[in-house]
Amino acid sequence: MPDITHTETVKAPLEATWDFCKNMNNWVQYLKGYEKHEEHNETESTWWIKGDVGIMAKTVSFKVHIDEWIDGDKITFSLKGVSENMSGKGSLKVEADGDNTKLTFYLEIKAGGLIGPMVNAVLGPVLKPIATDFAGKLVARIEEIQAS
Amino acid sequence: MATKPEKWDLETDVLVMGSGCSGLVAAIIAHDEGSKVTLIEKASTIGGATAVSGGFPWIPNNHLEKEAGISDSREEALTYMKFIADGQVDDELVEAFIDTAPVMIKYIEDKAGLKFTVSEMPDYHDTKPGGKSKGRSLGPPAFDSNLLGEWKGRLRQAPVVIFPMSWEDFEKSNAKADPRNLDYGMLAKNMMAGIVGMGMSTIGCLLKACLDRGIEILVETPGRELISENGAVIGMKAQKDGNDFYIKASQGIILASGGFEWSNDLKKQFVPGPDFLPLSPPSNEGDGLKMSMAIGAELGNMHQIWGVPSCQLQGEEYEGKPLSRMTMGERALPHSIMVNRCGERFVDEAFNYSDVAKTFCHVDPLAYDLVNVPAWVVFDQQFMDGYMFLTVPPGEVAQPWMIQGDTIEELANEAGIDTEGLKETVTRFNGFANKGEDLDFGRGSTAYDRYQGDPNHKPNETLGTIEKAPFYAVSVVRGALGTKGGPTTDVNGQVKHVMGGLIEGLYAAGNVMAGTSGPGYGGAGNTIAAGMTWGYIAAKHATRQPKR
Repeated sequence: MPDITHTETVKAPLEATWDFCKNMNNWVQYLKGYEKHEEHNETESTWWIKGDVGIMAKTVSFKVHIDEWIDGDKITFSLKGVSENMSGKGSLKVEADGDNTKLTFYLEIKAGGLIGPMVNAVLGPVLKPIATDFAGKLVARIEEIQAS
Repeated sequence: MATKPEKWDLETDVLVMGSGCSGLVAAIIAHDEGSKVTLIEKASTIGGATAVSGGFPWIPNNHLEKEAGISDSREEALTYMKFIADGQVDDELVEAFIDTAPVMIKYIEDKAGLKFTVSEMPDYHDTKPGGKSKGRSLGPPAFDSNLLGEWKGRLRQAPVVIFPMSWEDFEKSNAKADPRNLDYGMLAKNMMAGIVGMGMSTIGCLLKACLDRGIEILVETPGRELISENGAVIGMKAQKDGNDFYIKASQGIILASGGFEWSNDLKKQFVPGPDFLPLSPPSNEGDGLKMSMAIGAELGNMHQIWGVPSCQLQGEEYEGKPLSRMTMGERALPHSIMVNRCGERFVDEAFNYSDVAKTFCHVDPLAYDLVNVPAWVVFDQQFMDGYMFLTVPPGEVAQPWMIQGDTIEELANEAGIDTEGLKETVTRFNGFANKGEDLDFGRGSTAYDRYQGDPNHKPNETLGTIEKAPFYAVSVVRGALGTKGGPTTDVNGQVKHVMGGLIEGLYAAGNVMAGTSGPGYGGAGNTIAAGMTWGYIAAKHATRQPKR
């Protein structure tokens, strides 16, 4: 199953970092290929993401469920393709690191069905740049807010 | 037309513009004939339309079919090709293609290491005089793209035809009828290991042959204008890194830059009928055509395309443009038909895509209307259970782009198809399916049709009832693998001037030229075979010219 874990240091205290991360509406737009999202309630939303796997790009919609929300610690969520045979999960975890915060982003996506193995083969290599790009943007935004 | 610069940025003997099969073969031959060769490519990747295709050449009378004991001859090939060209191509050009293609493919096999295998695929008109039920379409091997070294990342990635395996293995698996026959875990491993198949394999092999020869290749270098002196083309103004880049070509320039299917202006000017979806890379904007027009080239075959009934699925893109997908089994396998808005079938759906696509141009003169636009592929749950429909494997759930209905009436209403028309058509078709004979359009009556069908479905490999709910419809429109009009050439691939005579130093090969199959399509790989062959011919002639 293609997955990626990426950790960045945020030059902001844990409280400020968590204050940003605790609300999905603050960060979902920083996912690479983000097109839009609709929040249905506190735990349910739908995301539309244009995934570019190199050989082609495709907009895929995911039903997203917030599975776990631990104040000051982490938020975990699961994804399920609305019409695509894909599923996955992810998390954002914050940990104090002196005056800074360690921010860890985890994402796994798996395609199922007959041709799932081939889809997973092309998904694997694109997860790392997605995670790096996402975490970098998050860090920049949190630090920007902190500086203002 | 650009003026000669005071100083050339690069000097070569033969300049090839375009890196599909036509350009790569031209470059290999020009090098092997002793000339200094430079190849320029507009895109950042190598391969053009060939890379996104099946990668077949269609070579009548080739040595591989002889080795396999399949009978073919020059006479049969000529008879068939002249029938395909329908009197719209000079006989001498048809003869040049038929005589050179087998020589070219043997050379490429021997000297460039690209070893094809004989496919079981019949000619597109296998029942016509000179047509063959197999042997002329040659399937590509698998290729290890790691052999390209630092150029591996420059191999154009195919968005649809991506099976990382040889055609021979793919064909033996019968995966075109039942994709469950493939081991997708093994294919995923191949993919991750850098193995490529189909068009990417053909291009990979040819690119490696160029790299092995030290042929200079410049990517992201679009050609812009030709430069002539004393009536002969002596160079080109290209662009490199955003600057003008002047290249002198002392023996000739071979245009191999593909068709103009991504230029809306050129399409409107030259191709009649409904608009069509391009299935080639978006860089095919007619650059070579415009450059040759600017220098006075005579044009031919401009209204013809390599047509194919196609679909676009919402949200899919290739290089920032909507991705179009060709339909094959969707039309040809049992339990599906194609209908117009009246709910009427209008063609043998399983027949070759190029000629099926021509039926989109049918006009009702009284209504002044294209009667088969829009059209739909209509199918049922039996199809969904047994076969792959575009991206949906057998047994998997329907997608939002599939219009659905629990009854034929409901489906017709949802799609905007005439209800009574569709009901009558389905009833009549089901009768044909039960008997195994299509009395309206002869679907399944040719070897080609049956090849596209399901060999395990009897009595007719292409006919199955449409009776199991839910029912589905998917819009299908005219698409094109490429256009096939451009500068006309002589038997040496040299471009003709509109006022008579030849344009010295200018050659054309592949989809940029006036296609030598005229309106027709001989068999799977006709477009690639023509490109490779005319690239070979043009390079042979150019390298015999004195240096200017």
